[in-house]
Amino acid sequence: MRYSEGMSERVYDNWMTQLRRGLLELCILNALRGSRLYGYDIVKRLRATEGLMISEGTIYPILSRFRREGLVETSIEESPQGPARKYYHLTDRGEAFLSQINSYWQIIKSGVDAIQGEPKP
Amino acid sequence: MSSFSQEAQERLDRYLGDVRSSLRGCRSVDPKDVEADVAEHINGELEGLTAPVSLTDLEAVLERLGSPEQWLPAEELPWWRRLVRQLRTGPADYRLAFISFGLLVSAFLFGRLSAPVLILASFCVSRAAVAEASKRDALGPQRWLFYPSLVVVYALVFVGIFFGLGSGFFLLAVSFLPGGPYPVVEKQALMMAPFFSPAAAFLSLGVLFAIWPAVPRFVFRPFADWFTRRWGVALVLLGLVFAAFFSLSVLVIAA
Repeated sequence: MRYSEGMSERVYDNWMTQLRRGLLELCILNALRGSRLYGYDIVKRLRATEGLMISEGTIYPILSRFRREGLVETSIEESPQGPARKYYHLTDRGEAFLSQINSYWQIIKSGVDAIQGEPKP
Repeated sequence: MSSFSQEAQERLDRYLGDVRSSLRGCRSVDPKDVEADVAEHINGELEGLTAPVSLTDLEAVLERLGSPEQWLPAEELPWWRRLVRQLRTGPADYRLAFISFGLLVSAFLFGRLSAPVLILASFCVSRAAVAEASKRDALGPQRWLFYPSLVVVYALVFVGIFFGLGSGFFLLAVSFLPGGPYPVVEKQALMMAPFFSPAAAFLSLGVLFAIWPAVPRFVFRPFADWFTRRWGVALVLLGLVFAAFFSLSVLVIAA
């Protein structure tokens, strides 16, 4: 089958989009582990991870979805610097879910590392 | 809370409006929640800048935030928003396919007088969609949206060519019958028509397509992409079969 020139770029873009989406959710939940953060704080933490976010705004719908799924809760606190801020923290359900996906991530990561490290025939 | 220049405030209001409208109808998220978070993010980024915040500074923040339309994956969008996104951002042939189908449906719904124009417009858009899709070597499921207008027009063209050629040759042949040219059409001539006309049409088309196989491929694209010189020869042979039946009918009549 003959592929057009743009197809490999599209395949790569699709792969990156899918990978990034899963990893972003993992990283958001891990950022919230043991902490209470407001949305902008989470963005600042994740900015340091290169290639994780194309658009910083993608974090906010994810946080909203986590809230609807009962993985995170919010609380409003007055801020001395300005208007009241909405802080996110993990619920018990969120903690359990995070523990599950972190374990799975370790398994997957080990497997991928092993495949990548295999000597070529 | 930062204060903005008038331009920047208008831009901010438009952006937050885009956030609300992009997330409207999405069951997995609360648009108000997201809008509040985004507003807080923007204020956080611009904190410390000299008031009023300029449009340039605001645009830098908005660029990092990205377009709200791209925040959600397609599967989290309501069906109508997925359709709109596909039409606005999908491959051009997808948009063209919907336009073509819409024009064809309009032709049948709305107009006796405008129907031919709408069908022709639908056909042109369909050909554009085929050309666009061929760049990616994949017609895709959207082909079922632009096939109908192609089929309608190609059928008319084929029938027109076939019967036009056949009738033309037939009338030419009839002009050589005893008794002078038209309008006298002998009963015998009418009996020969079912064999003579197809024979003439298939022979002439077959010869033309055998010499220039690109002609049917271009005219009847994408349905005749498989057409080769060999098929032109096959049409010639089919014409010869009809010619043989025609000859037999002449002999029978003469006898």
